[in-house]
Amino acid sequence: MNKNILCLVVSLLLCSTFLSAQSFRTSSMGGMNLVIKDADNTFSLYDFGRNPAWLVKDETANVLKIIPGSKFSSGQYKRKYDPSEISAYVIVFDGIKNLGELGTFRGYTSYDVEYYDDIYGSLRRFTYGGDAFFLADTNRGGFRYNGPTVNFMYSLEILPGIYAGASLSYQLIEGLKDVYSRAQSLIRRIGGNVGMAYQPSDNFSIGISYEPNELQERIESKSEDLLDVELFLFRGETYSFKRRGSSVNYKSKNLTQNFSTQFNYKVSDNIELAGKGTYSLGNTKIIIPSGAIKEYEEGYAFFDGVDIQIVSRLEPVKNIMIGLGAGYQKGSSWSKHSGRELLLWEWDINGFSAGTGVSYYFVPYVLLAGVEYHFQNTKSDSSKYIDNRFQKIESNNHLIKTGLEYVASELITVRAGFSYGIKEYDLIFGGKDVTYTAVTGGAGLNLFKDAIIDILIEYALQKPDEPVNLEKSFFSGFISLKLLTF
Amino acid sequence: MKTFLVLMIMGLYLFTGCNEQPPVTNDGNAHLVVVALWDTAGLGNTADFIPLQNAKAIISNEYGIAVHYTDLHGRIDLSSVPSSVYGVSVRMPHPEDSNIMITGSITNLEVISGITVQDTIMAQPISSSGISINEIYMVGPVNSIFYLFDQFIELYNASDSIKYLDGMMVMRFSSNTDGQGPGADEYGDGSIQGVTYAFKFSGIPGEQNYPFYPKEFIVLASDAMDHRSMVSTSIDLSTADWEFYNQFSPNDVDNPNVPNLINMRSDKTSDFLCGLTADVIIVSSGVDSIWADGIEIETFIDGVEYQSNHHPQNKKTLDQRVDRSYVLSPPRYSGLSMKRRDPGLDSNNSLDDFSPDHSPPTPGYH
Repeated sequence: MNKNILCLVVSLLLCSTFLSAQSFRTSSMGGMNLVIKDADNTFSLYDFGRNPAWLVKDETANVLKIIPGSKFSSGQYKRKYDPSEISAYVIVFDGIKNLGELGTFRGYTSYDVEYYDDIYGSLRRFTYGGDAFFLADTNRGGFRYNGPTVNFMYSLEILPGIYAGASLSYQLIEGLKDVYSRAQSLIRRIGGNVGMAYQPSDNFSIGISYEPNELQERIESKSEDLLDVELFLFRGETYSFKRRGSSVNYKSKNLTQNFSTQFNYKVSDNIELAGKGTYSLGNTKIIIPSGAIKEYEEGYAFFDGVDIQIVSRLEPVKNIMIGLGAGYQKGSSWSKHSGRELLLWEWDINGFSAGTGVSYYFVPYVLLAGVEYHFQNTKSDSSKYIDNRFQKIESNNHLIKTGLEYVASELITVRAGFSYGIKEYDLIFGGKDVTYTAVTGGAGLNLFKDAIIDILIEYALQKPDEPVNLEKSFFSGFISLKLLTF
Repeated sequence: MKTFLVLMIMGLYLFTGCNEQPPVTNDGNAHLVVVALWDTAGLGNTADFIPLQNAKAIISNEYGIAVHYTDLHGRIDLSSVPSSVYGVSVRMPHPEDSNIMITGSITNLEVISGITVQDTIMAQPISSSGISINEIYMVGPVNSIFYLFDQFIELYNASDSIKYLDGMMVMRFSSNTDGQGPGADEYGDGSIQGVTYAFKFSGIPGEQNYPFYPKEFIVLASDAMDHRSMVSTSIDLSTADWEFYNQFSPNDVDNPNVPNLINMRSDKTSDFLCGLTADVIIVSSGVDSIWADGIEIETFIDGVEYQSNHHPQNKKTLDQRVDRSYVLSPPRYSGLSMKRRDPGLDSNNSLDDFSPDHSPPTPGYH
């Protein structure tokens, strides 16, 4: 269970990877985010702090990005209800329009198609969402999910030095299982982000933002012949009760709220310091229909978390960039059986992280090279009361990232990266001494006037020492066409 | 700047105030101890309570059914189990007479985490005697045209003596959808209201024209015909022992070679058909045949309620004096039937008496 919060985070990141796919440059350089200064990877309240109020200050140019891409993962290093393979395809249209004194507008839309293959029974899209509730039929099969996402963001300087911004996003995903019980999913996500920022001086800015997000997943298994369908609703991992009928419905509602503060301080021309703190609250309700129009709450899960991060970039001498970062994360959750008011699962996870790195720009060779080291210590405490399983784990994780960028000509820039990491204990998949190896590559092509093409390719492999002979691989590829006039 | 900071701190304070507290009691920490004793007081000997050693114990709750065996002291000790409403049924063969089963059960044990629940099952020998509903087939064959007319009920005479069917009634109770529900003693007067269909064997109770021999199965078919001619996956009921025939229906099938149970309600013009996955079926002696004011429970020979889901999705409604639980029915149009674990085994607890494994119908045999 302790692994599930990370799972949730990873799942959300998986979704948002496409959203942030525009940071192609750092991603293709091994994912170095401390020592590579990039227009899409600044320490501003917008890029780093996710505060929409700072959009008007951060994005000053009109741009339209068209990003088709795909992601694949496969392997048997997974949990019971994970798919063996995931194939995901997306096309993104992301436009920013500067309206002058009227502020800045950003419009974003995407369409996703995802194939989850070879899932053992589970019917929820994000099975490991951190709560104690699973829904399964008795058949191994695959799901296809597809649907659009739209997002609007607007930011304005309302008073001198005071900025306000807001965003609204809506996502609708349909899912269908390819074999019995032919479950159909309808996933609806509505989210918003409201922020304010204050800049008392040119070198200091501070902001606050509030980000609510509601996700509802409705699943219906309906017999396509005259037989009944049987679904099993798990409380924990061991005990399930059965629901049967010609049509069986199930609904989960998740509400998360993030309250965040950010600051950015340019200490001098060579030193920049930024930080953010986020407090998160969330809950998931499992809703079961009872009769024609009634429904009751079968289960309830509560989440909360704190995430504090401080980062800094120093340029002690020209062409050398040193990055520093530190963070503290804490999350906890509990799930209860609503009818009996009994605690089913409870977990707590906390840890700190630190990172540092250096990059150097070799001027004569127009070559940028960098290396980063990240350390993370995580402690988790999990109590699965209903399953009678209790676990305490501490893990130290190490990750090294390296990357290069070579400007071959005015038209072509090539990038490459390599990452290697080791985890004492993988809180997500349960392996011990898990190695992580990733190779990235990319290119920037200035082949056309007012248009830039960026390419990003990533391959990663996760392999534990224990259990043996298991691994999981990831591959993704994206192309970004950036139009500077439209 | 000050205003900004005040806003920020106030927001954070309000936000953290939304924190919720978990329940104080954990699930998975319940403890159930049941002792099964054989009450020999009724055997004419000195009253004694003998522990049922190594008896098969069927533990049921909303999560399913598990089988355990009692220890030397007749105890079943289950620790660290989830909170639920439990039912425990024990059975073992009589040590000297294999035709007798010693059975006992206890239901509605509210087992809550953090508490040890202890109870005793007073088992009694069930002589496998009397007439019981042995098999119920209602869900229809595997088909795609909603064919459901091959329903039948199988009776079994588990006793060693000849019984007589004269005047007996077979009824379906599903009209009482208000109040306590179908099969309930609505007015507390010892009778069950809500007769939907009432069909009777020929003759009047007490006569001896229609013998039911020991260890014999009798099949009561909705329509005594070879249903395979309609749906290939169906069954042959042309040799059924009895057929439900509604003399008030202009188009009910009547096999002239099979004697009829006839309809007692002139206002009902359809055949004796039951709910595919949920209903209440009663066989009575026919002594009380006035259905309008309910049928007296005292005249009941056997009764079974079947449902498609465990509690609490569905509420058991058949009176406890007739059946303490219910049978889980197979899926509709699956071609499967509900059968007792052993012919005639009847402890008035259908969840235990009937096999949880549904199988194709076996009209006239087990």
